[in-house]
Amino acid sequence: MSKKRGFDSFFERMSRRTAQKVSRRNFLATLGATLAGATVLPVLPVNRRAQAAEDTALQAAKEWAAAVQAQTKDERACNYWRYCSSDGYLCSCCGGGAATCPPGATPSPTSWIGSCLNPDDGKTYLIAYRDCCGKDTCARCVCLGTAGEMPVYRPQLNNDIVWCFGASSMVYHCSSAAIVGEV
Amino acid sequence: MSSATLADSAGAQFPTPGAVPDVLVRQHNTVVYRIDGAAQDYSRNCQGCHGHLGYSVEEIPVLKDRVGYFTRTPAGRAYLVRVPNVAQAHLSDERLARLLNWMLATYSPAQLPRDFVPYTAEEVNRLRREHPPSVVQLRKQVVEELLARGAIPDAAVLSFAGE
Repeated sequence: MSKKRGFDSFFERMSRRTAQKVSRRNFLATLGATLAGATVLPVLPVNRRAQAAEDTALQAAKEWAAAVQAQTKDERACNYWRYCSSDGYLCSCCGGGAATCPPGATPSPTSWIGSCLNPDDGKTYLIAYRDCCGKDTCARCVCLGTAGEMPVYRPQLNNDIVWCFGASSMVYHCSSAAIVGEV
Repeated sequence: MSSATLADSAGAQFPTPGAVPDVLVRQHNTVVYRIDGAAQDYSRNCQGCHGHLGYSVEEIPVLKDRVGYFTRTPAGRAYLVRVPNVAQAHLSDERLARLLNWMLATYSPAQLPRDFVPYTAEEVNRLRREHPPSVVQLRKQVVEELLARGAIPDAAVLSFAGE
């Protein structure tokens, strides 16, 4: 179990370092150069912000899927494809499932919504990371994915905070990952 | 039913159940739809708290059958762009304007004024640069003006537990 934790924290650190190193300007300049050979394509400033945010999130999701060898068969493993931005204990190890709460815990009506790459079809899906709440912490199968996650000063896209707003209580039990749609 | 016969109002095709390669999706025969355009921007930026039906928990303002009221005055219209999570969304001016128009048409069309003019990118660009010192105070003033003009039946219509 400690080996697995070291494995996870290594890739988490790698993801963070990548996110910190690759600036938007650098990413766009590199992308433009790749597409047009030596010429860098001009990018309209009005689009830059939106494209950069999603490109960064998609890139992070792809990197995570490759780094952990994401799979679509075992919901109790940290490299199950939906957990690319899951931070906490897996509800599937706590008497529930990847998208269902264990008995005695209530699903939070609110969540942050990230996106993960499905390795089998190469498509990206929106994932709602709803915490299951109202029961003492499960403390099994801890996982940490940070693909597309933002720092806490943008809380609506952060997975460090406890997503139990509107549930029976703010006591955190485990984290779930429901598919919202294909993008 | 085959995917060829199912389509939403925008003409998009629904995938057949179990199309996502995933053990749980196959087990539960879950149907997963594509989410594109303004609906996708809403999913990424708003849905987690405001809900896919436009309402959620009592601390979070309800959009459904309510948010359209704000567009009945110029101050209210401006307020919707100045809400911090709107103004600071990771979206260009064009996409934010498109999202606001989609959100109003989807969740609160009946509350829009008859002469409602959709948001433009230029308008959003101008409004999101303005940072009122207190957005809470601003909201109070906007609601008072809506009430004074008879644009809302009573103040309770736009109240929420988080304020």
